[in-house]
Amino acid sequence: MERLFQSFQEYYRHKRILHIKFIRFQIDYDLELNHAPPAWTRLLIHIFILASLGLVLGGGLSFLLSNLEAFLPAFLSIGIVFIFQLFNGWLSVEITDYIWLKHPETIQTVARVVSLLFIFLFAIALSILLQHKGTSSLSQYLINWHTQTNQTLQRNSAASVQINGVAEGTNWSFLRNSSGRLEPMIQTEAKRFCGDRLGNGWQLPTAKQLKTLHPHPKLSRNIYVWTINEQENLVLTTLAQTSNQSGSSFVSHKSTNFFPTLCYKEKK
Amino acid sequence: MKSKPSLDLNQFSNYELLVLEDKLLLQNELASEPFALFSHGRRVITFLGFFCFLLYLLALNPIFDTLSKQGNPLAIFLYVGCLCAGILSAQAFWERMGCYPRVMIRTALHYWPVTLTLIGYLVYGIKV
Repeated sequence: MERLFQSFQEYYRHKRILHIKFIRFQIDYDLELNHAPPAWTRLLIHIFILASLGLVLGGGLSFLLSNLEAFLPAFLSIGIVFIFQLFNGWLSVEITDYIWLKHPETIQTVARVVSLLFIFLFAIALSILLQHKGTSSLSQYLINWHTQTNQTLQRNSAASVQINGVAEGTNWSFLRNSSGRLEPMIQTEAKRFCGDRLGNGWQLPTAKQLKTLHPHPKLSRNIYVWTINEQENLVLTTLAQTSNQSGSSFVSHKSTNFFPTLCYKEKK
Repeated sequence: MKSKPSLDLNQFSNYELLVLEDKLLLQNELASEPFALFSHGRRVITFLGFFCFLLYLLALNPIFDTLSKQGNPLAIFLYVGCLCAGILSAQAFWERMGCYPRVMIRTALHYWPVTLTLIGYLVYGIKV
């Protein structure tokens, strides 16, 4: 018994020296974060070893206990399981420590590969999720969200304008949608509409200018993203936004003659 | 790479090794830099810091009540002060705890499956 105790003492002394060397290496020579294995790898190694030991040793123990159950009183079998669990826990810690202290560089390398693999798998899963068609897909959810947001934005905006009839030149007739009610707008009002809302320099685009707009590749049937037309030196915005936010903006229109809130300004 | 004078650790007694290990770990645990070295003391300090923070919040509750009724922005500074004081006092507590309690707590956390089993069976024994 004394010999056993002494050998345990020697073992822990040796382990402590190893640990001190490890700490001194980490603190004194190696302050860089990338030179130490991350703590989560230790937990992973530990859980893996704990589980394997539990399966292998626990399987053997349960086999033994099932055979001996008839001869053993209940409290004795509980005691055996208790001692087994203590031993299993202790042994798994020792094995983890051994791997951790002896092979930090290897663990670091494996951890990097594993984390890269996880990132790669995550990216693939995300791309599949985004490409997937159907009502439950993420892309469909995003499209629905945009549609909903745009509709809410327009409903709340007093500046929603509907083109009445065919848009030709600057002679459009408009209907102003304020407080949910459509009111006719005379030509001069229509011309001043953007300027009144957004300040000096903002105007309604002419039909010719509208033709030069490039809709973004379709997101859905009703949503287009209008981008800045650099060739024409125009800055476009929707009235639902402020002039500071001009540029690319979401414009939703459900029919061809409905341009809710489009204004433009010449670039300085 | 700077070089440190190499110690012959084999010449050290068991107690000296224990103290040296504790000293090195404490140095790592109290450092403000995010060292990658895994140490259970960091978790203990985090937990203690949160606990102290909650204690300070409870102690200063009447003052916080008054300040929030007044809409006084001083409450934010006091809150951040509580947070800092919580962490600092946790560090001070951990530092002044002594070598042996620190080693015992670290060992208990290091051998967590053993500790969990012991706690589980103790609770079971007390209940029965």
